[in-house]
Amino acid sequence: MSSILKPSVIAIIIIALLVGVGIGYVVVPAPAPPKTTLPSTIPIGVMVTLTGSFSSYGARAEAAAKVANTQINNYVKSLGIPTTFNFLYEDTETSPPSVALTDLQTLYTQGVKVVVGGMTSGEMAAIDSFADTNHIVVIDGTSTAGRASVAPPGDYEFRDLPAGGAEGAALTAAIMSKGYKNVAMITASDTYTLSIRQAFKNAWLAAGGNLVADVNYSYPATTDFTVQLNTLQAAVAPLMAQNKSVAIFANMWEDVATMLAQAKSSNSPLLSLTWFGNDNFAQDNTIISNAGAAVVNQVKLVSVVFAAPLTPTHAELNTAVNASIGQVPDIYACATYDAAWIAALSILTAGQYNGTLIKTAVPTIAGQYYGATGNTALNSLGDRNTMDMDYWAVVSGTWQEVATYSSIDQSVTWLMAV
Amino acid sequence: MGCVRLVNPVTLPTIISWLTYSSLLSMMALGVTLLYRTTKVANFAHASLVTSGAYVAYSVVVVLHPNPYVGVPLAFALVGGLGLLLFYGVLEPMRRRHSSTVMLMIATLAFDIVLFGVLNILADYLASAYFVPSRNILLSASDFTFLGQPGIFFVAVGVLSLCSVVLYFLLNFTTLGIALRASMENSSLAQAIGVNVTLMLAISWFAAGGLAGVSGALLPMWTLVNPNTGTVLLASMFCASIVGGLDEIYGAVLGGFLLGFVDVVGTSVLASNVGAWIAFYEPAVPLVVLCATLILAPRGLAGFLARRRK
Repeated sequence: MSSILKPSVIAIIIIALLVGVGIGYVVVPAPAPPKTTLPSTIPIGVMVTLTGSFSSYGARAEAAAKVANTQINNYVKSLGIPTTFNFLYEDTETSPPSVALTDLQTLYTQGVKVVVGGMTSGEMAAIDSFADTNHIVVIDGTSTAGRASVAPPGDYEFRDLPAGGAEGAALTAAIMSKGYKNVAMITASDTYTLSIRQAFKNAWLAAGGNLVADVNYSYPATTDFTVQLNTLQAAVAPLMAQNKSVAIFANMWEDVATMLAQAKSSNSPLLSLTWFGNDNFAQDNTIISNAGAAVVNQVKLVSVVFAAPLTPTHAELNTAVNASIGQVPDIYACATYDAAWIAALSILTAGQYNGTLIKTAVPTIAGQYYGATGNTALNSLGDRNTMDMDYWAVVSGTWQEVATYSSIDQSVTWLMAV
Repeated sequence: MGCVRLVNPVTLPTIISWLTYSSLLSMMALGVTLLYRTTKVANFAHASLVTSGAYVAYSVVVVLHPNPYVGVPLAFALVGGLGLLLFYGVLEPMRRRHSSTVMLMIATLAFDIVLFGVLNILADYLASAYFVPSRNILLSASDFTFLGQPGIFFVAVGVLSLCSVVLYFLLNFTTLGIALRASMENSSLAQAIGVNVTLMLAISWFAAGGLAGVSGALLPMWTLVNPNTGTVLLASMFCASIVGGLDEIYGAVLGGFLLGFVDVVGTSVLASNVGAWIAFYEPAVPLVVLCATLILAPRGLAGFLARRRK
């Protein structure tokens, strides 16, 4: 027994074991990559507005999607999954929305089953039926119109920004908190703004507010706002005569600059009131340069916009997009970036490039994901649950953040006097 | 008791808006009428010719930073040149091949689509090369004021008056004008007596393009301009031209002012007295006026006035 346990024998056994481990490491093949039935190249459509009046938004969204594409492919490569995501870009041209449908049909013929975009609620409404019929999952980072005016609940369209109801509540809270009980509203006839009109109307009237005017105008056909200015003036004149506070809610697009400029030309009394706005033109410097800083300064144009927390992902995206196109990504570009990641992770989770399976995976992935706009948990309709908001106004000739809105308790905190 | 008291929104600012808008619209319609008189072609490319004028003037502002009105003469010349390009490059070769009027009209539509693409390229170039906004252009903040009114009011009314007077004298008191009118009335007969009809047509296309260019160059001083702005205004241009009467050049001015009056003043009165909902249907006003006018005066306002004079 003792002869067997001689030190030399033990040493030989240890050396033999070590050699065996070495030979085994070299000879035995590397572990196989995870089994997948995903194709070697997965096409994802990205529908953005690269021409037309929203092209500046489209350029930022496109840049953000490109950043996401690179990061996703690096991630997939690091996992050893033999798949590459290939983003295919289509220009929805801003208007008419039917261009988006043509784009989606083009993408479908290229084998696309998951799309990120388009960029307006009108586009989302235009593509909904085709997407549902052909089981194409659409994840949008821009549309915020009410769900009813875009797509049926729980279908193939998902949106990682909250719908207009949240904006209506936030605007009501801000206007009420400034002590206004009377509002005159002007609305562009567009899917998004009409949805905001309804959301605001519901929230405002429920809060006990008085809607003294509800003026709609044809968009973008209206180039002269004399009629609209006259109508609003007629509505607010009795209140102004009694020194009652009244505000204007400009539920418009960039043409708010034309209306302001024409109001200035006619020395309209409406310019002595405070104007509130939707998220269409918040932080848009062309409004100031187009209408003139003095007039926008006068009406303030307190506008609501979704607030994206400066997460590490957000900061990283800011750097990458800035390096790419020299601009900081806006909230819609950030949401488009998140939409791209949710799309890729859902495909990887589904394990197949199958629209029906991917659709099932999206709500879970979105609920777990925390990206450039924070957590993207969706509600049962397929839209983002909640999001805090910021209010920006033109103060001293520049856009400045003047208040914040908490979606949890619907409270407004003013950061500066407006 | 029982008496309805009408609210009157017709204030000085409303009248200023009417005159400004009508002057710009009349300038656009003048070109449409002039071309219809000379070639019997409804020029759909007029939409993008107007927008081209806006972008020429804006390009001058972007590159040289002068007063926005400085680009107006250049817009006249360059967009007049585009009119010539359309005539010599597309329509004249087709005319020589005996293309029908409908074919020529469709050719102008095709030219409009090409020009729309070029305008988008120009807009993208301005944005990328000069880092300026190249869509949703509004230059009214740079406008001057005189007697408390915006400069565009004086300029638009003044330029329209100047163009109308020049056209009137050109057509009625010059040899060129006589040749032009002869070509308009009967081109075969004019050719037989030695009038160079092709040259006359070319002059018409240059003048119409120039008028479109001038109205377009003034447009950013009044409203937001995009590459598709001309297309948005096309229905109003044609309505003004037809309402005024295609038989007389000055009919376009009559039509422009009537249309502007009903659009701006009429809709304001209706919205203030009937309801704000009327404002939504404002773009339908030109078509309603067109229908009403053609029922009452099938040859337009100018035709109606001419018949009364007889």
